[in-house]
Amino acid sequence: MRPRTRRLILLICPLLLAAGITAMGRTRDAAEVSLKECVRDAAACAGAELFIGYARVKRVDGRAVFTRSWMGDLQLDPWPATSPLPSPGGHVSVLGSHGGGRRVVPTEARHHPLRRRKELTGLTMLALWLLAGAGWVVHAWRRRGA
Amino acid sequence: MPDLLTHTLLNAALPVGTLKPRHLACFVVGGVLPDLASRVPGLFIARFLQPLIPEGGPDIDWLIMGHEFLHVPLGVALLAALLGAALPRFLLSGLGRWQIAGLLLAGAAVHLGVDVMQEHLRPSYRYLFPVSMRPCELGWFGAEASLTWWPWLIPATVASLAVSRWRWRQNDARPGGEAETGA
Repeated sequence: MRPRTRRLILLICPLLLAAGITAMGRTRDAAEVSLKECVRDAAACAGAELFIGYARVKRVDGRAVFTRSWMGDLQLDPWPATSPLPSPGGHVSVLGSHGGGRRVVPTEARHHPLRRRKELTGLTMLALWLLAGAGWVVHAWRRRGA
Repeated sequence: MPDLLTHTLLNAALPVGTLKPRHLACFVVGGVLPDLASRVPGLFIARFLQPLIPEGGPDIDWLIMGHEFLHVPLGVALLAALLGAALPRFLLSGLGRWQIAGLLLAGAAVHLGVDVMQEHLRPSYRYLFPVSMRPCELGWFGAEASLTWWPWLIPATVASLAVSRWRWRQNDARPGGEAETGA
């Protein structure tokens, strides 16, 4: 890589990446209705389909499932009859509509029985990758000094 | 995404002796790059930064969603080029900057290729961005299926690495091989 090309890449790529992240984020934010928007203004999301991904089940009360997701606490109620009720500690994803406040009326639901295992595997691997990366940098730095 | 372990094992197993050790390392790092660059910052912002923002404060949902750009081909290509150009000289380990960028990109392409085979309740991989926001998914297996695969990938990876090691040794023993040239 020529020095001039390298300087150009170092200048342009971060700008393009920042522009890409902003464009992707803004476009998705404008196209998708989130529960937060529904809580702020129920009329704004009337009839819109809501997607709640990988929410952790806190408790189940009858057919009402109380969960926590990255959008905060929410109530999935009534749980669709086509899907078995989840257990506390489990993970679920649902498609549904707004039912007022932080309540979502699911139309389609999916269980993720291996979600916790996936998170643990991911965290372990992340730690290992960070360790390997740090080891590589230290090794290369020492070799440079040798 | 299949888990990081599956992506790591798959990328380590696929080359079967066709890549030298340093090239293989770059290829494997490329295999986890899209998730490390997109999911980890997204999860970090959602879990640690977002709760600090008071009710009625600035909305940063777009920033969490925006990191998906680092999980689409264009974003990954830009990131690979940037990493190839930005690495300090002492970390190059004798590889060229374009070589590193190319290997990271090839590894990431395998990652994106595996991801697109998955099926979700709502498809979310927008690989055609910025041309289109239409999600692409082949729906061949569930998002958690990889957790039942990786035990099978371990022997495949070990066998592949054994073949690679045998070939590296053969190459080193040959006159003008890597051990002699020090490349």
